[in-house]
Amino acid sequence: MSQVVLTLRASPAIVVDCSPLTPDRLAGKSAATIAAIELQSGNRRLPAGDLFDITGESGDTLVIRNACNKLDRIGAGMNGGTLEVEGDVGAFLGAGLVSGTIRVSGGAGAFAATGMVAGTLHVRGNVGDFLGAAIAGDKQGMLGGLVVVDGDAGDRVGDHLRRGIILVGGNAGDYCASRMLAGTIAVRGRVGALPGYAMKRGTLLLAGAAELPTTFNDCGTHELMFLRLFARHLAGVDAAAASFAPHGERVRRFVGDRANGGLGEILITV
Amino acid sequence: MANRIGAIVDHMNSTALSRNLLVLQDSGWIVTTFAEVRSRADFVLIVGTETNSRFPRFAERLIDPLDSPFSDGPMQRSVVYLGARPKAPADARVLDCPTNKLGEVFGALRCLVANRPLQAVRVAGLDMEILNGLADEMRKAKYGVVAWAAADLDQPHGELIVQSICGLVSDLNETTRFAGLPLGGNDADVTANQVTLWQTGLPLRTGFGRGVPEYDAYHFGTDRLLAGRNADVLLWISAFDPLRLPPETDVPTIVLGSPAMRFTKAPAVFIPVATPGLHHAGHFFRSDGVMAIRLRKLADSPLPSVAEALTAIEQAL
Amino acid sequence: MLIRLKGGRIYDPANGANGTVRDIYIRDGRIVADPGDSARPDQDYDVSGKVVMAGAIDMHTHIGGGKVNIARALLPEDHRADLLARTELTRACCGHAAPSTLATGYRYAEMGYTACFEPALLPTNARQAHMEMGDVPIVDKGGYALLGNDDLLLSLMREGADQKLINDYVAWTLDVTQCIGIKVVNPGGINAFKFNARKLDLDETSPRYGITPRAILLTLAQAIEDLGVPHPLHVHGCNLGVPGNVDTTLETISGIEGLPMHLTHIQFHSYGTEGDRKFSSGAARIAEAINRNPNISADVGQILFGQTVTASGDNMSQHRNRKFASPNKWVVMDIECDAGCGVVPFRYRDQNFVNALQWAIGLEIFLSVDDPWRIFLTTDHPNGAPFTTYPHLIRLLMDKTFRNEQLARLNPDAAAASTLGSITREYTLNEMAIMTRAGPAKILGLADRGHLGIGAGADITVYTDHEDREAMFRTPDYVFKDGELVAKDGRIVKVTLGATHVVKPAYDRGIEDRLRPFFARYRSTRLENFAIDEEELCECGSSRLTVHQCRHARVA
Ligand SMILES: [Zn+2]
Repeated sequence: MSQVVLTLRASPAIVVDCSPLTPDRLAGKSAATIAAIELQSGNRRLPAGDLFDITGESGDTLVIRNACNKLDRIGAGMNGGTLEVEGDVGAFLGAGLVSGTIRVSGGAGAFAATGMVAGTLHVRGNVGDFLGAAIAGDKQGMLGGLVVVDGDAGDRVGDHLRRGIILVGGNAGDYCASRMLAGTIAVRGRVGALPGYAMKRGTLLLAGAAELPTTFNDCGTHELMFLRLFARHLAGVDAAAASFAPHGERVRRFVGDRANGGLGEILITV
Repeated sequence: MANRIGAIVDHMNSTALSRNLLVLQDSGWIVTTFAEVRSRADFVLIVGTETNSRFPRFAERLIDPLDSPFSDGPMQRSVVYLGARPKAPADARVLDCPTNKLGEVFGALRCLVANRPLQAVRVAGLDMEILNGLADEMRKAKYGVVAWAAADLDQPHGELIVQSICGLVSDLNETTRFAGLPLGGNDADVTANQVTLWQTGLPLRTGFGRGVPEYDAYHFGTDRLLAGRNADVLLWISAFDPLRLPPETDVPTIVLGSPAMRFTKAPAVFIPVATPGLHHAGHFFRSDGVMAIRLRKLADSPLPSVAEALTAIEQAL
Repeated sequence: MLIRLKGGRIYDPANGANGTVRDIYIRDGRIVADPGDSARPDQDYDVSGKVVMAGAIDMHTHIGGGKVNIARALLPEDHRADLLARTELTRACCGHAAPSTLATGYRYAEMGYTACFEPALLPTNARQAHMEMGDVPIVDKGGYALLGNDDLLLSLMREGADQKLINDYVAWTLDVTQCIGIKVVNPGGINAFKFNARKLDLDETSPRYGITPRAILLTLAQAIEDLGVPHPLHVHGCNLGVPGNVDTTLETISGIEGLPMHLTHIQFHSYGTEGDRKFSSGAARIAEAINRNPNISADVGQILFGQTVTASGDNMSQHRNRKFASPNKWVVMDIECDAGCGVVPFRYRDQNFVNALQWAIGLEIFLSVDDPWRIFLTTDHPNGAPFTTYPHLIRLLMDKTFRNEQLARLNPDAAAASTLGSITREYTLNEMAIMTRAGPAKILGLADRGHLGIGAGADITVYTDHEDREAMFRTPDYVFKDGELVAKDGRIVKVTLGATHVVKPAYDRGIEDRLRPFFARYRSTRLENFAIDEEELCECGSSRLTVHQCRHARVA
């Protein structure tokens, strides 16, 4: 299977918008054509060839090697194919992802998966704040698809999440699932302060006790069929996702955020 | 100038300012202005700890006067302070609550106002009975006001507190009249935001690097840009206040500031400038963000205004 | 410098030219007589076969002031989708529903507009409005000051102040806020909302003051008449958007007792309650009333489909409309015992029965009012649609086939409920020149604008006579502002500053003594700091103050 490999030569001084570099956008392009693609960095435009060594032949896979946190918007708006990143990446990873798979071996900055529509995003390291959240002014964050983070996530995971699944293997920061509209978030580690704040609908699945807002009501312990279906669903999509399948079906169920009349649920496995 | 060189425009107070702005952009609000508060408000809830010290004439001008065109005798006005040990007048009614719990307190008040049952018996150390009394008082107010200074809600994601306040105000308007009063305006922060908004269509933290405006409420904050070294020069303007020095950074810094500024670390370039409203005319938005005030020239100065200095720099580019 | 536009077809209804072929000469920013064969033009434009009109005038467009900037703040996502790149001449900015001031000036000028009037200038917010309008480049500006919900006027009326005193207050307001007209929005209603009233009908008495909207309208219309202000009282009536408000509007027309009155965005006030959905067109009755009452004029406030934002002083109505906000965010404000505002984003949908019928009602009114001098082309920007939709609207009015094609795409029940399909009228170029140039200039009292006679300001737009009127009116060949070429082929070629148009009726300065105590006690500004002078206007970006004549003040 043919692939293009972009190897970052050195960390750029100012963040670079890498959104033009997706497998679908590079399809059929020669190394020379790719080298000439201009990338925005601050108030300058740099040819991709100045930043990356470009090898391989374009196909449905793009590999970015030696990546660093100055590379923003990797895979933004990508529609199809596979994007493999070796190293860390900057902000807006997979923003507006339409379809395809993005894998990052390191960590990612803030607003990963914002506006993501479908597809899969897998980050092995930690991610910054606002994973799958809405940018200022937008009423909806991530719209669909699957996000798996093996490490920790920052604050406001899934703020305004509209649809889709976010799985966090490590800990999540404060206000996890804030203002969430629908969809599912599961956190295997601990969460910070006030998970579910201003939540409207959707499900936040937690592995252990958490400091919930006082405006959630405790609805007791339940056996939830949903959890078995959820586990089966995860097993079907992705090996990384499968490891998040909850063990057992017994959870303590909290409903809120009643402050704004919300009927979201926080499920804590018992 | 920012348009010309592709710079990002921010304000030294915009972290505080954005707590309000992010709410406006997400859900909007019902708000009021000084004259309405003074003439109409029969109930005022003051949120935060520093309102009176930050806005020294706030109580004196708006809260204390009880003459009103709408009541035949002196008005009845209930005033309640809510926050961590507010520097409120000695005889004031105070509900002591840490800042990081304010969001939950307003959430609980929203439940009480809307008759949504809650299991909790205490919220942020306050008995539900007390909050129930407060909610009742708010529902019975004819024209209630909640005032806050975003600068006092100084914690990560403080906008979520503001949003809860605004949600409560909105709920109360189902049956009575109630309004928020966001207080700001220091160091011309509101002014800078208003002008940036009308000229570009986007607020502070808008950059021009791409040749079109680009707004990023998170990454285009000055502190974050400097910490991530995603800016290679800092132009710091403080024509009003000589104490507002640029942040410590090894990014080359140019300062347009009051000649009274004293630096611990000298900037690469320092251009002393005249003071608006003293040495030249100008405009300034008041603390409620609505009224623009005319600043007049009172004295001559050999120094250029900020506008003159920037124009000269731009022409030399 | 002498400029000649050679051989154009001149549509200048104020001077009786209806496609007449003649040359136009410009010197020092004004139109001059043919200087004779000895004078050689410095610039010569061959416009033979082209359509030449005066620069267009938008007599009701929300381009600046507090509520517009709130609309901008509310909608970063709308702006992100419509970016204007920096050029050598123009600055980077954003457009669409609530465009930046810069984009507003650029895009109006590119469409051949040379003057815009902001219809809702709160006196307390006049300074900001003028600052914003000063940053709208190229086009001339003017504002209508809002009265009729201010506690000051209502107090005076309750005290039974005589008309002379109120006239002085009105004239003083025009003077210190630098405005050209007076507007009243939901008379008494915005004030009543502060006392928790949720509606106020024409003959309902307001809380606290016990005054009816009818009385407020009569008092202000009388003041305008007595002061000789050319522009009639500009009225946004009661019950905006409420089904059945056509009756209120007809009552408002008869209630003004023959005094001049301009009804703004009348489309939003022309709704009946017939049919299964209890929402029907009142356009025919409204048009008939306008045709019968020569004291009445109206602008339409046409809606067009798509995303926009509604920004109004009428916070009572806007609070009611919050439920329709799309996206779901909105602002309501009470302002300084003076007025209020409400900003609600809205998306008009062509498959929605009500929206589709609103569209049809607007067009029915346009096409059923006989006298083009008394009906004006507006979308109430941005309330019905952004002003950038005007070329499309013009095509709807000038092209019956196109109109019926659009009608066929709408919600079929709405199309069936409208008489629009049976209306055959098509506006002519001459009528379009009246509705967008000569008419607005006349109703605002702009003696030297809106026409191409000798001595007029050289605001001129030259179009290619294209069968597709939308294409024609979107991209004029040339736009001159005060004799300078500012846009060519729909692109800005020069950025200039526009003037501010005002009126200054005579009044007794003693009114300030009456007002000063009120300001000191109940306002948070001192009277002395309220007034805006010419120097300040020019600091804010106005090129000059243009004072227009009032009719002789009537002897009391
Ligand atoms: Zn309007």
